[in-house]
Amino acid sequence: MTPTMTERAPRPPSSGGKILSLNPVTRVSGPMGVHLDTDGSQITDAWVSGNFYRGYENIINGRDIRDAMPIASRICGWCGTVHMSTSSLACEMAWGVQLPPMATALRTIAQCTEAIWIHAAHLATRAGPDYCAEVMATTSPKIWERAQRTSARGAGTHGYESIAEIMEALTPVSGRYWAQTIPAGRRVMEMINVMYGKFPHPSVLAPGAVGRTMSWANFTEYYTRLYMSVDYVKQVCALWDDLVDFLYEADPRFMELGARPTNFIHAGAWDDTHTAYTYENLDLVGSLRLAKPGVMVDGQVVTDRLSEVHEGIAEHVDHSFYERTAGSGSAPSGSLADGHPWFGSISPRPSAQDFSGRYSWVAAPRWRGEVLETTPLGRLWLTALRTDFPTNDFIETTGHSIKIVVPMNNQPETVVEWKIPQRVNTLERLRADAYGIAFAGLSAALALLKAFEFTRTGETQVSTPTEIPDGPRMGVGLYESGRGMNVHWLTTDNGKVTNYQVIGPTTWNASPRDAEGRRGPLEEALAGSPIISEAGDGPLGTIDAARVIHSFDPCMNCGVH
Amino acid sequence: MITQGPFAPLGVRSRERTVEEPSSARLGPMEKIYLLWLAGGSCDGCSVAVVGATNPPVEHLMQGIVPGLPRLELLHTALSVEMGNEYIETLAMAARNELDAPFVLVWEGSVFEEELAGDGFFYKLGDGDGDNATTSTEWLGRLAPNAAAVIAIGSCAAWGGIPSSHGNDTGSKAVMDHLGVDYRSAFGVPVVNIPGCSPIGDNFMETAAAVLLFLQGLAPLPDFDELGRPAWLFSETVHRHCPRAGYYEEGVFAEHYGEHECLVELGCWGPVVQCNIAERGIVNGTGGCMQMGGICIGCTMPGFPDKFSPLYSTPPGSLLSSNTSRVFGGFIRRIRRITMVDKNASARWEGQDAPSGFARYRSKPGSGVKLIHRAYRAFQQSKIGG
Repeated sequence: MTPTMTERAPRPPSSGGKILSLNPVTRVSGPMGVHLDTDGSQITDAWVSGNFYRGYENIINGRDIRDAMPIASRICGWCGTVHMSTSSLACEMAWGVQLPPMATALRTIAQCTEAIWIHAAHLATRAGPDYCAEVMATTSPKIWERAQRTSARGAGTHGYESIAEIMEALTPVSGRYWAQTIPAGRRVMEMINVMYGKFPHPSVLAPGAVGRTMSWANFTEYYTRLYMSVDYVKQVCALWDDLVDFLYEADPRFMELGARPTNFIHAGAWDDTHTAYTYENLDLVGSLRLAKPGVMVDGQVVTDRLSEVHEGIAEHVDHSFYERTAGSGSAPSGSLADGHPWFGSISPRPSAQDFSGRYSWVAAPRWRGEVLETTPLGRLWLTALRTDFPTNDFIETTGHSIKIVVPMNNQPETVVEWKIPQRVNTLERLRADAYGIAFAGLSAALALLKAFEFTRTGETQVSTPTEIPDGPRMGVGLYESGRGMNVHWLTTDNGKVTNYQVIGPTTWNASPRDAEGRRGPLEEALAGSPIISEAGDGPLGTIDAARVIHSFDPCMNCGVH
Repeated sequence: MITQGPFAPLGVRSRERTVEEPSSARLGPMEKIYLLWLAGGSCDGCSVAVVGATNPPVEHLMQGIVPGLPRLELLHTALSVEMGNEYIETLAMAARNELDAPFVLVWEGSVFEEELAGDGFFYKLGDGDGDNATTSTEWLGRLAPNAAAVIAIGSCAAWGGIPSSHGNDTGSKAVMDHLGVDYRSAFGVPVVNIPGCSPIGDNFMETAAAVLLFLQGLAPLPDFDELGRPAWLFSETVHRHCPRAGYYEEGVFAEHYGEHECLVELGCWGPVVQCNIAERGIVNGTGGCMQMGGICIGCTMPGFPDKFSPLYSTPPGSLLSSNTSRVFGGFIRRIRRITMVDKNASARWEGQDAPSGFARYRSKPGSGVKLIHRAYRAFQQSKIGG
């Protein structure tokens, strides 16, 4: 039996409905709690809490600058390589050192591969179980019944004859898709290891270097695993297309589930190998990235310049367990928003949870006052809109879609096309995760071909000799994790860190209310979402909230740090 | 309502005590065991590392198909199907000793000093309904006495790690520090430590499997060292099995990242660090530190990170040791080179070019070197017949 709830723990005020507490929310990374106000047919309000704090920024502060990268990597064990890469970008800018082309290519290969891992593990182990047979049969018997008599369009690719078979495959542990993804994910880990030495916390990165001792073994080990993965990519895209399209047809309320305005922020990632990452160069760096940077508000691209993406960021802590200390300093150029993290810092002030006051360890970043989401959906959207994608053999952007050629293996070469959807909602976030695997996988292939080229031309240097810089220096690493934009800021003086600040993707997505009382993106997405489940108060009665939450793939490790 | 069936290994769980049909091929008394995986100041990196393990893979344990080992029912915030109170109820039952099978508690991350948070918390787990705990530290205190074994995975749980290092706000410490020197599990085992940041997944799997075989009565309790590390995995320094150790012996050191010689002067602490990554790699034999080009930053050691800081700077001790090996190793390397050149020519090519189409390879030593070879061979051949 589900234990009855008592009133011991603080709860948010209800507008007359029923307050539900989900603590912990599972199938997210790190501890997270969500309170929901519901009226039986929809979720009317939501409060999202990051439920732990480790204090990485304060631990890095005051240390030798060389400690920053390996410690920053340990912020997150799901995407530790991107935290180390982002930290190394901040260090490179502060030190004034440029990575050699081969090192940048290796970084792109490793980071694309980590994005594959994040997308694939998310879909199969965190989001997928929300739609598995047992859940559907318990919470939506009519949809389950329809799934059994609906044949799957992509059966020729993924092998599941009906939608019900797909749902069975999504069952944890025993389901075919779940069970197939664990060893596939392990192979992806091996691919990261081949490039970055160690996953999740890389062993070969150093200031100015991706210090991998290169040999042909790197490439053969990597591309063997890459080509063995291409059929999986085709299958996953087909599977999620079938599932998402079916759910829209079976119950149009899925269109509204987790819906919110088309508001995104992205830094872009996967760099051109010959462009120095300096503050002055940010716009050029951004424009040459395979995944494009930009900010979208209400469906319009407000900026696609990386410098403007950066300058507008501000961190609010009015509803978080922190106190903000303003710092002094100014950017090398441009003007930074009020509350920009580069010079100020935030210190922990733990207190009892108070839902009209402070209730989360996640801070609330905003961009020029806008509440923005950063997810694979936003990354593909901003990239699809750009028509300046470098000409290549695998990926083409059309202004409204991304076409990706997935090469032949046991299954024939397949062109998968991700199209900009009508709505930003739960199911489209998941579909973007699936196509994100194809996008990241073929972006890795492009970088691998670059690395081959450097081997032919003899540009095999992987490190640039560096000296610890004197005097005050500053740097910012702007990059993308699989989950969204990741930013690390750094100021140093004579080789010691004077301020280290991090805003991870989940800091945006799972942020609490800000100074003006506006909800964070996940709170926005929950509020107004329909309750599709018919399970009532049973253990799966909150499955719709779970679906919305999981579509953002929250990670409290990145979100709080 | 769901009680059993496809969710069993990851919830939603039956609250009824069930009597399972014993399988005829069963080894040991346990059909299943709960694995309660809890965390404090963690990054989930140890969880991810365990997904990388292959001997055996974790999904086989959950499917219950590994002979001799009980089926795992896993409670983990990153994987469990159950949420909120459903999830907490399994912990509460374990704390009340009401589960229908024993449980192993695996702890990832440091243990927070929650008193320092005052009215607040550093890690909240559950709403505290009934008499339930509300922080993960409090859950650890309640569950540890009933656990069949407590395994601290990763350097944060084993030693404190980064969350407990200089500058922390949370009073973080190791599981051993929190439970104290007298702690014993319900089966009489002290805290087992599997260090590493992140650890090698197979180090955990192998140790957990060994402990489970012990609990099944099929094998002895494996050897642990004085700090609770699996002795067979952590008694050697990583340098002894490092593929670059031969360069150290001959006094040849890398000056830049990416070079293939010994990395000590770039900041590698391998000669004094207990770790087995040089033999095992990280996933399926791939990856690792020095074998791939990375320095050892001491991540398996209790002194990590503060006692190895600043990272990437040459360890002071190497002033003595690497300079010594430069002198002696440099001499040895040169005389080895003389012998190697000789062994690279077959007896047929003595004094002429090797018949290789790739390049000119000539074995025509000067008279001094010829003398050395002759003496060397005479001495070598005097051993014929013993």
